[in-house]
Amino acid sequence: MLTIEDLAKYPFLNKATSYIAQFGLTLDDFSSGEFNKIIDRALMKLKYAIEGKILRIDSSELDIEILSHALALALAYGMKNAWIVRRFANIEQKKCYELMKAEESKKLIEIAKDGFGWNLELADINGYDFSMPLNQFLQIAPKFQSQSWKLVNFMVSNGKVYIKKEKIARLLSEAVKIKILKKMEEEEVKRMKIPEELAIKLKDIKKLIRSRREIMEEREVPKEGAIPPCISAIMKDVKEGKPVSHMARFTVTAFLLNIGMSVEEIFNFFKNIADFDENKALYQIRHIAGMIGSKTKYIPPKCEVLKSSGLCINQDKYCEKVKHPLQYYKIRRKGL
Amino acid sequence: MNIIFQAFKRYYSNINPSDLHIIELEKREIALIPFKEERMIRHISFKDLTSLKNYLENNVPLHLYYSSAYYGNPQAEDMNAKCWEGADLIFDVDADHIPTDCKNLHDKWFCLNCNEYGFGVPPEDCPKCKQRKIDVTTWICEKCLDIAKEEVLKLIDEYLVPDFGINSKDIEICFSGHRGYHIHIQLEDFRKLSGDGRREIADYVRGIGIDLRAHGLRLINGIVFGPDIRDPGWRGRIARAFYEYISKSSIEELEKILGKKAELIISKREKILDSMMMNGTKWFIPKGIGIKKISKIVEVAIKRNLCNIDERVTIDIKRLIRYPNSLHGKTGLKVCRLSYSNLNKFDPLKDAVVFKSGSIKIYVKEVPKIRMEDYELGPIKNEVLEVPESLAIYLICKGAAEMGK
Repeated sequence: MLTIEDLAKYPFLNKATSYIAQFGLTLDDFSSGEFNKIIDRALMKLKYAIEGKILRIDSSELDIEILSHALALALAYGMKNAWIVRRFANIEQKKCYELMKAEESKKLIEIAKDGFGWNLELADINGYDFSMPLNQFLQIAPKFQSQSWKLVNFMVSNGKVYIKKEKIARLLSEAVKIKILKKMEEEEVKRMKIPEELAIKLKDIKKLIRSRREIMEEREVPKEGAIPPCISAIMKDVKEGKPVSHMARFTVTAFLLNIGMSVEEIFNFFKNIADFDENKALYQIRHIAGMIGSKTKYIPPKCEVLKSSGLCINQDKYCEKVKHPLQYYKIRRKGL
Repeated sequence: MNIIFQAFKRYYSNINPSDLHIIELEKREIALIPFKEERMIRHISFKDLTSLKNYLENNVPLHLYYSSAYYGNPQAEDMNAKCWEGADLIFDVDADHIPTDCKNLHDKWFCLNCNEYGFGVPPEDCPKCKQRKIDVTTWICEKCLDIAKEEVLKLIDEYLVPDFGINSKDIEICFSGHRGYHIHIQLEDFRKLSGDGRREIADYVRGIGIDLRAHGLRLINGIVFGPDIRDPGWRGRIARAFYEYISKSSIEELEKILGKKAELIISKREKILDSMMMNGTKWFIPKGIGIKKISKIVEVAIKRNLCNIDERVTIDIKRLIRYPNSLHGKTGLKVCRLSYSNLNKFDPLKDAVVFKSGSIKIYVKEVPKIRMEDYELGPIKNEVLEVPESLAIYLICKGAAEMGK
């Protein structure tokens, strides 16, 4: 049985949504000043999320805990600021992961069922704790880059994937994060507006977001020592004016954009290339940056794809640990 | 090509619309390559089988395809406006992707730049002039087809049924009309899978990225622990492959992996096999052979368990794939739909033949040794002869023959 405390711990549950619905509150109701306690708690949740800290559940007032979560999320969406929603989603993921790891197995089964319709079953074989249907496992697991999350490294039998408890917690908490992020794209959520009286209370939060973002987004200079060998090899060819395949150009452009180089910088970099066409190059770089065309900001292909297109060369010991060139960069940059 | 057009037109005029049945036709994009031009006609859709049949009769296709995807608006030209709702899970097994010895006898490549040529699997660039202008002529051969069939059976018997839990009744197999098979899984469960999810499935059957430790192979206190041969999934597959390799391999094969230490395995072979059979996870491995060497043996041993599929087809959630019961424009053979139980006795060079009326006089340019139905031909060059219709159509489709004068 899922208790009220469970709903406070896991407010993404469908049961939590229907629990909240019975109060019949809308955003406008929070303008009246009757619900200051809930508002304060919601603001606190946002503040913690911005700072990247987990706020522990206050079990003394569960209703306030549940309602303030919903309000905090609504405010995050209402601010029309994807950054704060991402921060919130990330911290929810972390919080749920910690809580779920400590949860009883039977409880996890209920959470998975109610939250995402997943059919977890208890299993006790070869060190695995649960099994779950293959198609449900594959909704989330491919998002993880590490080799230990590849399907081929799980025991799969009769349409079920066998999985340890810690990994179930990781999978579920990631699903929580994705649920929060996906909701941002819903029309209803896009239309959401924060009433004046509430917006005033967000002043401090907005200030906090600005200062945080400035610190985090100060443009980083690409660290050359952290660039993976495949990218370095293409860059070397470009510098030497050698012809480079379309796929290689795409890879290097998407990579450099993603580690913070500007369109102009990349444009200048490509000037060396033999068949350089100024207009075409600028168009393509801006396309990959998501400024024009499909408006998707591209990321470079995974290692696997690079391997099959013959672009994966000069592998080093870090390559073994990663599945994506950007992951390589992230790991090595830390060490520099 | 007029004779081919007439034959294909006859086929599509006489086809029973119900033979064109596919699941949720109205949600699929239909595409075809017409006779007159190379360009593909795309983004068409049909509400029912009769209108599709009428269309094909009036617009005879050289090749006919449908989308593995289900769309809200299959006729929309912009991919985003098509409203993707899901896609069948598809595996493509093609002799083109499986190295076979016989390719040296029947597959020929030549360089469009310098006219250099050779046999077997084509090089990426010409060994003589280094240009990447290689043209390839491939031929259907029984051996290649048999190997492709074995590969399909492996995929189904070792992966789709036991591991993925797919009932063999829910597996649709199509002979591609050329050198391979397409396996369609149309179950609701798999329709919504993302490209990334499908990549995991493709990697699973291809054995890409296996971490043996994750499957229980490890050294604890000097004792080797491995998966149990009775385990399901990759665990058991690894154990069984290792078991089989140890029991069957010669000292020469083992020496390639272990060097001088191969002798240790050979002398203790029975003991190793017994330990795996009796103890399950506690493997007896002779002292001096470490976990790295065992991993190497496993890597070699599992090679024959891996499925040779074209992973791009599986990963693509918007693939156009050959239409069942359509004709393949490079062979004139029918894209035959098969059930699992029919696969074993299916002979593509007989059962996929549609044109069986009389014989036709043709001029053959160059052909290796081939068979169609019970008729064998070649290798021959520059000859005029009379052959059964099916073979004539096949050779003309291939561009290896013309109508004889």
